[in-house]
Amino acid sequence: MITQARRDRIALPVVVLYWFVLFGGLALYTAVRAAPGSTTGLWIGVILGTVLGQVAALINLRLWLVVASIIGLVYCGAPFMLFGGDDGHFWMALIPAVLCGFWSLGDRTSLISFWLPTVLWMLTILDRTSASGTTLAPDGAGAALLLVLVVAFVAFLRVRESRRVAMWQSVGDTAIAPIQPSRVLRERPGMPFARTAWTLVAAGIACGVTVFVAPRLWQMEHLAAKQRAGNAMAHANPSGILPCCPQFDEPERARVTEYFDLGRGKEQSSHIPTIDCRVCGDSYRYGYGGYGGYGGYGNPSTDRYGRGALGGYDNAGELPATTGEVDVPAPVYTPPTPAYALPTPSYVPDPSTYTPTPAVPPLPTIAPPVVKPPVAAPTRPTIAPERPLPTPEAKPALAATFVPTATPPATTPGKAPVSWLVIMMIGALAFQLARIGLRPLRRMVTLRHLRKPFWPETIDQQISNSWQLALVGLRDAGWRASSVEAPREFARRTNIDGVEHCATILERARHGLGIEATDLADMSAAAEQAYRSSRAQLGTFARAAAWLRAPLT
Amino acid sequence: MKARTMRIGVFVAQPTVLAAIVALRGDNARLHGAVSVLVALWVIAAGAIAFRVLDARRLARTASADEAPSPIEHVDLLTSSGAATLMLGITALFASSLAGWASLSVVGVLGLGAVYLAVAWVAIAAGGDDPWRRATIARAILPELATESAPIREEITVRDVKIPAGMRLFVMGRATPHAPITRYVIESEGSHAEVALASELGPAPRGEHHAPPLALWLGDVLGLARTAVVHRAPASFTVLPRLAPVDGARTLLGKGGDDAAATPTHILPTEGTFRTREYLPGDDTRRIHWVRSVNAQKLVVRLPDEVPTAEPTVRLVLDTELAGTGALATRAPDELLDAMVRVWLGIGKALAEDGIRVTLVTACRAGGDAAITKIVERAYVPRSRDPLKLGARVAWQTAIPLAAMLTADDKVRELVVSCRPRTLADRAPSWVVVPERSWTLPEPAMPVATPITTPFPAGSADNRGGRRRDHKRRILAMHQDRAYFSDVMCTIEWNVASGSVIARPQADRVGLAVIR
Repeated sequence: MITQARRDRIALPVVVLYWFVLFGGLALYTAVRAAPGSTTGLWIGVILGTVLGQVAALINLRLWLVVASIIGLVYCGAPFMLFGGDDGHFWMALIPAVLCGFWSLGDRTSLISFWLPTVLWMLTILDRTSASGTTLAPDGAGAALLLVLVVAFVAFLRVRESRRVAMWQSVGDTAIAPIQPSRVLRERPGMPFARTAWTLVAAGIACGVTVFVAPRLWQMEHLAAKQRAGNAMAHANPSGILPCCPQFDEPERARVTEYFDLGRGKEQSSHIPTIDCRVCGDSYRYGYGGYGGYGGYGNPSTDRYGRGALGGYDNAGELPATTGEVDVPAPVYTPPTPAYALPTPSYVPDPSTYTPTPAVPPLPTIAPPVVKPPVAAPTRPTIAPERPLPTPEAKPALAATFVPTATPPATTPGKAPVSWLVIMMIGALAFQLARIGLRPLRRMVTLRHLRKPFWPETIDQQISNSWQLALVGLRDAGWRASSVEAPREFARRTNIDGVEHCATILERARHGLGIEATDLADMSAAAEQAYRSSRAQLGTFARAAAWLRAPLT
Repeated sequence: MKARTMRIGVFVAQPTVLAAIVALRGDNARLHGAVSVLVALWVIAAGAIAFRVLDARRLARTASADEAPSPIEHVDLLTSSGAATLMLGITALFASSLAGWASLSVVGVLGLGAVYLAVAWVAIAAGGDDPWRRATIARAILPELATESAPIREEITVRDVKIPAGMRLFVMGRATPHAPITRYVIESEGSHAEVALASELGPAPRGEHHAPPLALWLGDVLGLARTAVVHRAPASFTVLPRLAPVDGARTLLGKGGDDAAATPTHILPTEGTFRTREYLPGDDTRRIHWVRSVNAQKLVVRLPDEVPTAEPTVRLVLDTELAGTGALATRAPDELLDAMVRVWLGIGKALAEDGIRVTLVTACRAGGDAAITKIVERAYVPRSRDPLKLGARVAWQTAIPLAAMLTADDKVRELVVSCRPRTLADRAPSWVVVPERSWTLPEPAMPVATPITTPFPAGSADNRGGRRRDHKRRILAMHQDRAYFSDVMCTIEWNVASGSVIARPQADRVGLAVIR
């Protein structure tokens, strides 16, 4: 029967890798997007839930008990859900975290347990996904993150299978015989390289398939349509009068649908009015809630569709707390003198890019507000921008002929962490390549020392060195020595010239028998002969590949 | 079979579900592209499987058809984890088309892609008989001639098995029906290599054992797919019975019995010439020592005072006639037979050391042929291994009844070691009863399923409901069979055994007591 220590030991790689992927997803998203504190609920929910789930699995609790515990938690926490201030992210994270954590150590549940880590990584990946046009694919960094996710999944499957195999060898409803470690007596030279090649090819195919297929299954969530519908409702007069037409077509926002309602919004222009409206000449629209600016990146002040809780251009609390469209009579309103001087918008629209559609009704010429007065909003907290807001120069001027141009790069502030991640990955890869590349040098130095020590050594040690030299050659040819096998037995098994003579002298040295004057020279010559004879059995490729082999014996 | 059908069904149904997803999402060129890739992967995997099935049919026509897996086994490439991953993956894709969550689509593609690639790789690289064509698998249970209860070990040497990269070789076997299961794993570094495996099998059970072949298969390192199982390397080994010292074996020769059914002493030892006494009325006149009587001028009779020159002969018969033990799930019949053999040989040894000529008689398998049973008679020679080898060959049998093993010569003393003394026509042998209750161990306890925790660590396949039910059924069958076996054994005709001897375990010895 398996001991508690052993079962914990074989579960450790699964737990470590799972936490690594979870923390990676959380940390990456936090570093890339979120404002400080805005993902606290998410962090706590994921960590607490995963700990609960994995502890439940490690103490062999049944699934129904875990589900009952979740129901109890939700029941007790319902009041906090209703009045909580984090949009329910804590609970949205906690429940799947418990289940996925539990299933991460379960049987046949690899895929479902990997869903939560995938969700967390997708927050960042989708943040780097272009939602314009018909293509829906992550950019280079997003694709790189997706590849990392695929590799993590394959690694997760592998460590889980290793754990399952370890349990298969020690746990069962019938008695399992204790096995001794297997001994490779002779191996085929070059197999490690075949395994490495297979790993690279398999990972490459898996990555390619996933990166090609998965984005094609993503679905866009068009936010502007919903907003327009909401706006129409907001403008609908009880007397049946049509609402005012907007002064310009609101930029449509779109994102890829995901479990967590966090960020990932991208803009795209749209010039097709979809609501019936009337021209309102004496008023101008102000505080377009639907134009959430660059909000919606996990800011708690955004609602599900990324609309800024702060109206207007979402410039960090300077505007009234409106969430919808507000008509403000121009003559009545006297804006206070701004405490700062706004620079003149330097944005020059490019008329050549604008192609009005015939269906567009003539838009009224309304002067855009020169100044957007900051109105005190004592009841609403001032929310710091989660990332540097665009400068006023970058804001589109409100004009009848305004045509939004290309969306400004929404991910500029989050570029650094992803870039660093990519650099780290490249660095790790380069480190591995360097390690492999340095193996021939290491081997060369070692062999040189075994043949002619760099420093004075005892006779016994030099004999041992010669034996090691023979072992290196034998290992090149696939022969492996083991600690339970005497040198002469090993020599007889290999039946290679020089090895038996080496083993005889080595055993004499080990047993303290007298070493004759010529023994050292004989040993050296026999070891060299064994080394060369062993390698003579190999082909050119195998001989070359042996220089990259580690360990040497 | 049910699980296999389900696994195959899950794999076969994939394109249908993918088509349903396409239909659900409507006309979407991007979706079509994605699904096309998945279907293409499925076609590659299915094509590889189809090729292997054709290959299996070809192999089935060759001489090694007995060892080759059936074609249906080549179709059943998914492990239960692989089938679950496939099912969850397609469910995730379906849910993603409904809910629109991108993570679900990623998880679905990961699951489906991983399984399709694993199946394709297993079918292409490890299907058919390629991995086993040059393989040499040597297996030995050591020591080859062991003694009962002594530890034995299994040693396997695997040579030249092709283990493609990304796969593992699984080896599983069981030396005897009640021995622990051995499970080995060799990574792909053991491909075309020579690998030594070993495990401890624990105490050796008595008998001549023919261990069934090992089951070998290859599985991918992700645990999603595996090859068909092949069976190789049966092994044979012999475990000699362990002799138990028997106390009071001499009582078997005429001193047993109660007043109602006393066993008279028929033959006294040969009279000596050193101890004499005066004749008393009633003495056997044949004992008169005439020479001394003439010298003493009175009648002198000889008294038995020396080891007889011709030992009394005892036929020690082991009763192995019992039907249906092979079908019982309980281990009690084997334990009881081991005990009977131990008592049988122990008595034989004790009597032989007392100078009695003992002939061991039993019915056992003839040589290496398990199908032929014959009566074997062997003189017990102390310090010889022959009696032990005979004891190792003993097994329950129905071919030869007990009566056929008994001799018709009334002058020959006959002792029958049996677990169920019974009335025999024209025979009234002396019995040495080996009671079942005293010599067998209780069955393993029924598994107690707690509603709170699982019986095995989370992630173990033995926690699955089906396996738990199977295990429970197995244990239940052991208990039921044990009850049935005990009933059969307890229906002893004690009146037949009255005056005979019962053998009971006393620590490491065997104690004999007269049944009164």
